[in-house]
Amino acid sequence: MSDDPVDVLIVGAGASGAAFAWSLLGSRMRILCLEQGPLITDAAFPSRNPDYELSRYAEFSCDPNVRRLPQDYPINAEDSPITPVNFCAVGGSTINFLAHWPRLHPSDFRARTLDGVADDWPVDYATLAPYYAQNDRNMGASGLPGNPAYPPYEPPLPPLPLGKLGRTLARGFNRLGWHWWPSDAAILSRDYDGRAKCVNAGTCDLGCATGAKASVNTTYWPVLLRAGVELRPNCRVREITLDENGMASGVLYHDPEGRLQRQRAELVVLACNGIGTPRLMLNSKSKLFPDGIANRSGLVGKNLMFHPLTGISGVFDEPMEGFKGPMACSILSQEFYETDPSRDFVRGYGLHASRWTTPMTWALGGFGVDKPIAWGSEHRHLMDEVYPYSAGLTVVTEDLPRESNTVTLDSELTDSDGIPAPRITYTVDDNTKKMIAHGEACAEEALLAAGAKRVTGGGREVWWRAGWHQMGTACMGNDPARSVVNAWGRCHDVRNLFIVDGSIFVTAGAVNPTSTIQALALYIGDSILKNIGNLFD
Amino acid sequence: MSGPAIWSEAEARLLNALLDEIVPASADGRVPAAGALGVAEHLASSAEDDPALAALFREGLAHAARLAEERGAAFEALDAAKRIGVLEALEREAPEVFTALLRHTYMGYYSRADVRPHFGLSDRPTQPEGYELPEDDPDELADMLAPVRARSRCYRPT
Repeated sequence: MSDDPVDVLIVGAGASGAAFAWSLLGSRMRILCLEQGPLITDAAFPSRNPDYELSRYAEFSCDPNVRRLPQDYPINAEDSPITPVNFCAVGGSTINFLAHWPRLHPSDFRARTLDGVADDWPVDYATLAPYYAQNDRNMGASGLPGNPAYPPYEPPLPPLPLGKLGRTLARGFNRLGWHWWPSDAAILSRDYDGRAKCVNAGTCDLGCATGAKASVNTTYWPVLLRAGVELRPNCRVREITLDENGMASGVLYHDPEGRLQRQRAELVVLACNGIGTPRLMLNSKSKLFPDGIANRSGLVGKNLMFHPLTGISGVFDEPMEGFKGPMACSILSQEFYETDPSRDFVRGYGLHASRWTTPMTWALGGFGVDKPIAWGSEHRHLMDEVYPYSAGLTVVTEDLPRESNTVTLDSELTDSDGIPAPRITYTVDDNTKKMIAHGEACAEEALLAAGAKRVTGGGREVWWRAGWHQMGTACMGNDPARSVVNAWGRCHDVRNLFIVDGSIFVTAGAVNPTSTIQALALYIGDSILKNIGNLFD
Repeated sequence: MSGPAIWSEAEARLLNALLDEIVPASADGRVPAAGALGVAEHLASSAEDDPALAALFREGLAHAARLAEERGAAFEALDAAKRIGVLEALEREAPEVFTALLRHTYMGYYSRADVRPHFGLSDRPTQPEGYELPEDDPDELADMLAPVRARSRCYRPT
């Protein structure tokens, strides 16, 4: 493979890398993307197979420690109650994400000013709003304008159907006078941009074989490839290299045969998510950066944030048909999202109506949980008289940044190329535990108001296989001593090294982050173009 | 009933009987129990690819056989209460083995296309046909959301 220098080298072909590449298309820069995973087609998605549910526990698990494919890197999560999940392929975790598409609130960018916790972001909602809108058009987002939980905006497509489950739960929220709104989703409610609308298959995590879900292999990548962006799948970056001036000179990577190659670049852009990016930076040691590249602050790999979550379900008189429709996207209540001084915690959480999952996963304990339900006559009772009649609410809480929650390099575990695996050290803080307790009580109240005969679940345990949202491990900021990148993603310490993924989040909010990750990636790309004359000053 | 080649005839008989207790037939009789449905084949297939799992299953079968003997007969010959007693003892005394048995039994049972319709799902793969889900009537949706819209904004100014 050619070692000719490229203008822009992007590491990672997932949500952020694809959006970032799109933002530079008009620049005539030569862009190369290295992706550790393969290029897969929709024919490989298990939702077309008769025994599709088995794949959720094998090659299409969201957990790399279960998949254990050559392109996956293992993750040591022995010191965490939550294990990270992802997908390694062109498209990244948008292959198996659930495409729930809420934005951060304006207040999420001002946690220090408003609530005295964490830090303010160096950008605000108003700055990102046009990039949210552009990305909604690029991905094909569905939703309903007028949500009083946000400043006005208009999704390009109408909302997805609420379904029986969503309508039932909405009645409960209305009886309590609580906020709810049809979920924004990066899933097509109408045919759009050459893609067919959602067929309500209900297995979004197994890959959307019809292309209605906005995986970036379906949305951005066809455009990028037509425009001449070079994509090299099955190429895993081992290390970012430096030149004699302390600037990034390129990367060392393993080609599809495992051989070590060098690729030079004028700009190196990391888009590997909140675990993969700090892992690569920490593995890029040099005399100049003995603790990992661009890590003079010591914050690379620190402040790891997830969204700790739990679930409560209600049992109703009628079947809820929860297997029909997009899994995560029905309705969302943000009644408890903003800080309320009368509560015993700061910040807040969302209550997400989850369309119920398929029988096998329910029998094995639910999505994100490994706890098989009872056997024998109780098993039949649960499957025949509870499962079909169940509707659930997921409590998705904000996680505040703490330096003790970290991604480090494991001393023994490696991937198939011998690169050290990430090790997660993480605890759920007291503020979040109070939110979980509050959220469980309020979810129960909403379910009963909606007509549930009884509720199950809870117990204040966070779900194990639920580390979808990985944020904060190379945070943005104006102060180089307290952040890794500046207000537009440029590393303070290495001025031609950029980060565009969830690592740069300052706070996590309490919503699914991909919409914000991509808006940020577009904003950073635009900022690079605006600053191109003095990019390295 | 002859079992998959990975197990002896006796082991296969015991396994099928265990599976029938773990997931019994539905009350309406339309969905057979796990053993009768042939879920042992799924366990055999999983074990063939995973020697550690195969060892766990063998350990579980031997343990269950011992527990049955302590109750006076082969598992298949015990009355219902004693069979349940064997499984309860196995769950208590060998939790790792028992959990593996449960997981793979459920995976084998619910991966079958002929089981899903019992719960309202299609026997087809979910894609490409999916499911019918009526679109919401815009006026009705507006009525449902009227109380939410009537509230003042619920995000904080910055």
